[in-house]
Order: sequence, then C-alpha cells, then structure tokens
Amino acid sequence: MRAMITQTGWFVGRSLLPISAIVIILGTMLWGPWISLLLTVVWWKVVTKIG
Amino acid sequence: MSQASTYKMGKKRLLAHPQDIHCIAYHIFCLIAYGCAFWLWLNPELAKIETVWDRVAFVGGAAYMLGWISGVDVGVNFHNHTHRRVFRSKNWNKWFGRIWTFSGGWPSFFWNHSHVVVHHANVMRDNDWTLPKKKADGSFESIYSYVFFHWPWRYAVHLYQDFTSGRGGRHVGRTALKEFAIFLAMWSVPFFIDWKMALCLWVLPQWIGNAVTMGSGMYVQHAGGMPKSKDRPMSHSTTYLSKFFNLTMFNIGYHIEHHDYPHVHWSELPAFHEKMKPKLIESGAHVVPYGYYKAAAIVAQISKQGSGYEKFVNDQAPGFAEEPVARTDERLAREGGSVEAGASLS
Repeated sequence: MRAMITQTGWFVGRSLLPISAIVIILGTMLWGPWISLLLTVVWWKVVTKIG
Repeated sequence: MSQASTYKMGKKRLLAHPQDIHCIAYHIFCLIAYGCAFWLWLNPELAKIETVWDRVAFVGGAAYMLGWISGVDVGVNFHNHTHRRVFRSKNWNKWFGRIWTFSGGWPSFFWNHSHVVVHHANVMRDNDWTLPKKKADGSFESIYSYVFFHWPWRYAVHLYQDFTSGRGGRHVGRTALKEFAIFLAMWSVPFFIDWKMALCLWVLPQWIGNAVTMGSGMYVQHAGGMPKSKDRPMSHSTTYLSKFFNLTMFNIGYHIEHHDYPHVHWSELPAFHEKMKPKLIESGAHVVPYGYYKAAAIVAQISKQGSGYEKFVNDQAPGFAEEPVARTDERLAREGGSVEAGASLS
C-alpha cells in the first residue's frame, strides 16, 4: 500500500506540469477562459517563486 | 504491483530503465493537453467562448501552458532520451523520438544533433552555437536577446551550415532531409484541421516552448560559466538544488553532474550529486539553492542596484559557499603545493 502511494506520488510529481496544463485547459468548460488565463498566470508565478 | 516488477515481468523488453515510464507518461500528457485545447477551440460553446476577447483569453492561457510543457517535454524529457534511450528496441526509440519532438516544433534528429554533437561535445567553447553569444568579458548577451533572436533564427542558420558541411557525420545532410520530411508530414496536420487554430495553439506554444522555456533554461544552465580547464573543471555549468524543481523537471538541475557524466540516468542524479559533493565544493562549482525558473527571473532583472546577471553568478547555495576556500587552503597547507583540480570521480 505504502509503495503504491509512493509510486503514485512520484507519478503525479513528475507529470505535475502537464497534468496542471490539462486541468487548466479543460477547466475552461467549468469556469470560462478568463479564469483559466488567471490560473495560468498565478501558477507560473508560484512555480517561479518556488522553483 | 510496483513499477519495477511490472518492468521485470510484463514489459521486460520495452523500457531500458523502469523510471523511464515517467518520461513516456509526461509526453503522453502533453499530447492529451494539445488534444484538449484543439477540441475546445473547435467547440467554443463548451468552453464558454462567446466573443473575440474570450477567444484571446483562451489562447493566452492555453498557449502559455502548452508552450511551457512543450519546452520541458523536448528540452528536458526528450533530452534524457538523447543520452540514454528509453526503449530497448532501436525502432521504438527512433519512432517514439520522432513523435516526441514534433509537438515541440523539432525534428528529433535536429534536436539530437544540436544537443549531443554541438552542445555536449563543446560546452562553453566557441563552436557551441546553441548557447548565448558571449561579450568581450566572457559574459553572456542579455537573456532577452537570446530568447528573441536565437530560436528559430540562429538555429536555422547553424543547422543549415552543419548539415551542408557534414558536421556530425558523412551522411548527415541526407539524414537531415529525410527526417525533416517526416517531421513536416506530422507537424502540418493541425493546419489541415484549422489553420487559425494551428497558428494559435500549435505554432505559438512551440515558440513559447523553444524561445521562452527552453531558451531561458539553456541560458541559466551555463550563465557565468567557462570552458572546462584543469583549474576550473566544473565551472562550465550551474547545479540547481530546488527539490520541487528537480522533482518536476527530471532532475535536470544537477547540471554539472549531468554534463560530466551524461550517461548517469536522470533518476539517479540526486544520489550521484551527493557522491560528487566533495568534488563540487573543492573545485568551487557554482551551486544554487533554487531552480531555473527563479534563476531566469533573477537574470532577467534590470534594476538600479546592478544587473540580475551579476547577482546570479555570485549566488551560492549554503554549504557550497564557505567550504571551498577552507578546504583548498587546508589542502594547500597540507600538501605544500597547488591543488590539482580535475581528478576523476572515484
């Protein structure tokens, strides 16, 4: 179980950027294009701060 | 079942290293992201796109995200494949490589040539045309010049010169032509679906990916560096220690280690870094506690207090800052002579 959680963590961590891109792009259907644009800017700012 | 056991049992002949499943997953997620963006462009009512400005906002957000991940997908992810192929089969490597880079705006052969033949073999020397131009004092041109003028303009000129002069092998020109034709066949598909969509959600992201993401990454990897020498064997690159950065970027931050030992698998670089740490400290290597994103933000600063470039090249991670002098002085006193740098890692 622990190994599975660890592997899932690695999987999500390694692919965090493309997964976030899919969420932001598909999320447009829920919250519209302006919020997606805002999320892109905020996410970029966060990553620039911590990475 | 763990990935390692899957690798050993069901797919034992597919992957060269079990961790390479992450490389493949990353690229597949990138293709899915492009597919989602295309689908919403073609069905604007689903994405609440009603006006021209809504469309502009959608393209702004989607193109930036797509460009960001495409730059990483080619510049970091496919990059790993150029050093250590991810599949065991030659054909799988060739064809997956072609499919890997077309969404980043590159024929795989061209990127492989730029990185392996030009950059890795000649890092920081004058014939490494992948890097920023150098000023008279050895520092790089501004990051803005590099981002706006290098890709695709300088790349195109240099690749043409290399392929017509035979740099990289006897049949390099012929291979380049064949690979370019295969690339064009795949790359042109979005234009047949909707040319406006192709410009906004295919060409624009690829410019962002190559010029902004990959361009700023290449810049900060080697800013402040110098060609390898006996006295400065590890000053050709900078190593980045941010855990978040290395987690999401396939450990590309361990760049000195990568350049000196390119065949060490990307997943093993953190452990390899620990092994190399004394050597890095001793040779006065440039090691910083953050990642490329923050580094690019620093070198892009234009302030009254001095340039961001100077600040960056003088930054040093804790634990790498004071020790080199102490260690060097200690050893000099002990040996009564000069420190001989560049000994190989045992």
